[in-house]
Amino acid sequence: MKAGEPVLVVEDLTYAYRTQEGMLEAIAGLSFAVAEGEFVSIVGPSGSGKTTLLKVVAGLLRATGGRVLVSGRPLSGEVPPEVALVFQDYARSLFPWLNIRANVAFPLQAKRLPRPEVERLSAESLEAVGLAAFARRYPWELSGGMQQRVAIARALACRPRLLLMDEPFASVDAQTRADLEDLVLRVHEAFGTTILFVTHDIDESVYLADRVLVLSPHPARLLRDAAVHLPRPRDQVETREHPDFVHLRAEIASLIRRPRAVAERVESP
Amino acid sequence: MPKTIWRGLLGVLVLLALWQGTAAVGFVRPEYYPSATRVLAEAAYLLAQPSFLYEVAVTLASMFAGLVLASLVAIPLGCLLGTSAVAYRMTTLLVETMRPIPALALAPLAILLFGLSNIATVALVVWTTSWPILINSIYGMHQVDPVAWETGRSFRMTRAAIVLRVALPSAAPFIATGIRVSLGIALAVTVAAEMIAGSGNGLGGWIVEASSGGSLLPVYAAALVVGILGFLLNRIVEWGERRLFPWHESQRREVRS
Repeated sequence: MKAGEPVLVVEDLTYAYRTQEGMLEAIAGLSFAVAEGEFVSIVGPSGSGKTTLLKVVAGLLRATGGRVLVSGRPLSGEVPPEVALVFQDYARSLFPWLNIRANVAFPLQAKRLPRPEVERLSAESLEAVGLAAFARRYPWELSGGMQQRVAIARALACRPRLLLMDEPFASVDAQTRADLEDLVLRVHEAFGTTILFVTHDIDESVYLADRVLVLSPHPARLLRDAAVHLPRPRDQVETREHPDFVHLRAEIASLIRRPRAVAERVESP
Repeated sequence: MPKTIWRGLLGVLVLLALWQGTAAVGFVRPEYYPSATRVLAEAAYLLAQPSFLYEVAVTLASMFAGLVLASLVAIPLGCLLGTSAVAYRMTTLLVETMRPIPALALAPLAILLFGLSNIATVALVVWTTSWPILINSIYGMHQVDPVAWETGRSFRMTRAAIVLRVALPSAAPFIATGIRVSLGIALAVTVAAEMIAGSGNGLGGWIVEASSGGSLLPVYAAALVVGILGFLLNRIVEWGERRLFPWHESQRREVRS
């Protein structure tokens, strides 16, 4: 892996799957790259294939066309070791028979790391998300926001090079979401992890990222690759008032709405 | 909790009272229909006899041996059939056909293979208890959340590792239910099997011998002991389930939102 090489390269990616009506294209020729340490948001309307894209990048699904390179290596049908995922459905992703500490340590044990190493990494990760005091509790004893923090800690425990997050805050209330957004920013700062963050929330996508990839409704195409020049550290109040934020947010919103307007024009005689 | 205990006790007391009442009227000769108090007394007496307790131990041993053997076969098999769609499709017809066959219908086969012995008894128990355990294991594996599977895959776990460390713990409460269900049948089958395929020991053997005597009182008393045993075993397994699976939704009392 040469210095300066992008962590993730997606070339002409297509993904189609079989339905009763034939092959349905979910992703139609996507290309983009993510550099080391970048925070990239992927935003698009519901059903635009964002989750599918993330799963293909993760190696959970096989692309039907094009290729994906992680750390310069093409995907080989399994999840690359330097990749970690945070799913939207934290309640179903955390293991209820394990306590918080054991949940966070789980992927480390799957890697067969030595015990003291496992202890250290999981303790640090729990610390980073502010849940060190809850190590012995069980997932069902925690609120939704806290459970998602555990999921984030678990993903961080492996010190991944690339963190993939699939609409992680879609299932929590707005207040908790703001806290979690800031948590992710702190984690990004502290660990320098490259993050690919899928969301349907335009505000969130701009608030968090260095770049925003805007997807069209299905089949997913890249409508825009927008750089975000807002100052860091971001602030929930100040950043959202910033003229660049407002402007970019509006631009993306109209981009997402426009494809539908185009379709309507085409359909009517 | 105490309220349900009282209600349960009330039901039992009503039954006992009816029993006592109908026996006292004397429709049936007391040798064939002893009163509740006499049966209770006889049961208490028997439970103090080492020879009787020995037979109880033999029955319980046969029952547990059968259960353990059945689990050793049915749980791994259930895991396989529950995670491999191909294997499941290939065997489901077979399972559905064999499962309803009552153990006692197979008693002649057991006797043929193992003679009139404890082994024949255990074999029949294994047959009976395997089915609920197998079916509940398959069901438990089918219930494993696909998100949990994907989570395992995201950790680069092999399929076998996911089955062992994610699917199996997830399915464990269902498997335990299968064991608890088969426990209820196991005791009954053990006693019945001892009666027709056993070598004359165990509670079944004891009942056969006692029923050739003049009075049915010991038989009723032994039947009562079997009933109490079954009740206690069920309670113990339920307690075990609560201790082992506090995390399962069925055990949790409150869930924070």
